[in-house]
Amino acid sequence: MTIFVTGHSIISAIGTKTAEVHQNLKSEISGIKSMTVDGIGECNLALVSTTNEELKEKYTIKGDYSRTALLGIASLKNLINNCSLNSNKSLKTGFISGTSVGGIDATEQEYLKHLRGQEYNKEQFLNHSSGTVTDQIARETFPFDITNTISTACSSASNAILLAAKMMRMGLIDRAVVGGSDSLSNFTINGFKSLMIYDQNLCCPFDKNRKGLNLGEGAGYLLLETEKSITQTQNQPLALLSGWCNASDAYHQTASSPSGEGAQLAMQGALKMAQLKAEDISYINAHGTGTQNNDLSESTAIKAVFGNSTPDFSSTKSYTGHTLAASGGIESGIAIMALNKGCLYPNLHFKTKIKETGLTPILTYSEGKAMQHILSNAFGFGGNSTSLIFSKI
Amino acid sequence: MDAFKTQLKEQIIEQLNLEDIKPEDIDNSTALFGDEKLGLDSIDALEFIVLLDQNYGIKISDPSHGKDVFHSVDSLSKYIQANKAN
Amino acid sequence: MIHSCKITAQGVWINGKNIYRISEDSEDWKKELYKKLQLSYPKFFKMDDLSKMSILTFEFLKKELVLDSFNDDEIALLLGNKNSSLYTDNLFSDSYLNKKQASPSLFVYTLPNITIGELAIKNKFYGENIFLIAANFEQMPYLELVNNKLQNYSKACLCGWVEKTINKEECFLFFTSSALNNKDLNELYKKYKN
Repeated sequence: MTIFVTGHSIISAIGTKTAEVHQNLKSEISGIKSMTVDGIGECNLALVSTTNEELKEKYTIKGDYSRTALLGIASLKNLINNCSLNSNKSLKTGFISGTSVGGIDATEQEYLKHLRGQEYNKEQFLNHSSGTVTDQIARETFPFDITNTISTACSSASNAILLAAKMMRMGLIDRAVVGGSDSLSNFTINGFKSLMIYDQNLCCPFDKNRKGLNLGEGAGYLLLETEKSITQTQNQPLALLSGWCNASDAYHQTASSPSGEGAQLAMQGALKMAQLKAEDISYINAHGTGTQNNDLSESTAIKAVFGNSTPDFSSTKSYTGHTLAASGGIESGIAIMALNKGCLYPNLHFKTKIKETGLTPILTYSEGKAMQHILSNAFGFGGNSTSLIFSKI
Repeated sequence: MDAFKTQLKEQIIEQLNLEDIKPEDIDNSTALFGDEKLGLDSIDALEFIVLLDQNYGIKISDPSHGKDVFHSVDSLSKYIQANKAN
Repeated sequence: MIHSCKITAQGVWINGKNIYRISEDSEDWKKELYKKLQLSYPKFFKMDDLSKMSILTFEFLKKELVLDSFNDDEIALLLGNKNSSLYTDNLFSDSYLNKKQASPSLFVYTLPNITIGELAIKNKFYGENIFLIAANFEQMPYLELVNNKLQNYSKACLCGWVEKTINKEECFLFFTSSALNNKDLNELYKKYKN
């Protein structure tokens, strides 16, 4: 069964419209900026430059939701504006959304007020659960037939895409909105700093001297359709979702194995499913968080799978920050843009190759590359490893 | 010094959640990260950094610097004596 | 054949039958089960309760299974719960808000899918795995997903529901290498609820 991607929508620190995102990627303008965070101090963060109040006004959102939900709603409303997603009794529509933070951005603020003996809004605690975020996004956007919430850390959105594709093959749904949403929170900033994988400076994925990640926030969703659906909606397909694979690294709760076992299995599995050889891949949008561990593990895995056919690759987290559960959705959107425009988005802040693997990512923006198939990686804590392949129509 | 090292071992046991381990089970000079019965990993190394900050006011900003410091109870004790905030 | 195991603070049930009762005066029921199983796995004591329960439940369940016939990437994992890692999330936020020192060993468990990670690490599972958030056990798409996975690469599925809140601790896992139907699911639900 052919799975078509007929829409994508990105809300991120480098833009909330496709053209804006592309322009910033092309101009090498990162969305990561130094900010002072209450209780934490100076920190490099990739914030979506729209406040909650502005999001509510711009997207006519009535509920007093968490930022994670608001970003998700914004992304879906943009998606619905750009492609045909109308109620259709003969098409079953799914919504599968990933999040790691859920409504923590809201609840941690109220909890802090409570700890300080200040007045706080109890109602906000109803926004906390991951499942509730999915329900709120759905409630504000479209009468979906099936909704699911995925919580597999940084691979959540990619797993949402994969799960929907499976459900479409099973005949449970004909089309689906899939991806993820996560907002910045003191919870996650504190967490990554406690693991000492947060770079004080701008992150430099795949660089020998990389010191860690910079967190970002955002929401990224795709619209996937079967042939049955696209015949009725008449949406223009942007790409095919031609391969996917999820595997387990089975090594450590948060670190990847030195050989990148899970990553290798995921990339190889996706290639096998798409019936492609390594040399058929023109570009890899890497997970590339900028941590010592991930980037070594992922480049080791890339070399193991691709060998002499290692394609052009880059991590766009140097622009958007690491958007956690949303990353697979945002970066799939970016990868599809690259595929269709035939352009290569650079990997910012890279200076020196990693000694053990000797790989150099894309250093400058270029256009005019004939691309047929591209790969998008997302590796989550818990060893959850997912690779997706998008192919040109 | 013995009393200090025993106290340090008690702190390590608590900070790292080492079940059924008593101070006398940890040899002062043996490599902590090689000891199978302790089963320590990279997250435990980070908890050592928290322990140093919390209990002794010593901050370690580079985790790789920790490797030598946390090598054994002896090396850790020596480091604390030399660096603790007063 | 489908095998299942349930553990709670009251005891252990294999395929719906109670095989062990936790002692009345037990201070740490999970430790009691760890000792009963005669496990030697020091990492267990650093895990969060979701992971501890999953590991223990599978150790009991393993005794009913023949796993040798499966390659290490042929067993798919599918777990879910309603409250994610909420219990540990609270402990972690407490560490930096009240104790002023964010705990890395707690942060590591502020994601529910780490439970799957721990099962994979201990049992060397390299196959596909997913953690879903659902309102309750009945809302989990076990039937659809198990059958899909078995039609594709995976040869068996380890599925379940693992929950930890202030009021409730439970883990129910089931293992199948053949397709499920509604009758199977109803039977499993009865064993889970029992």
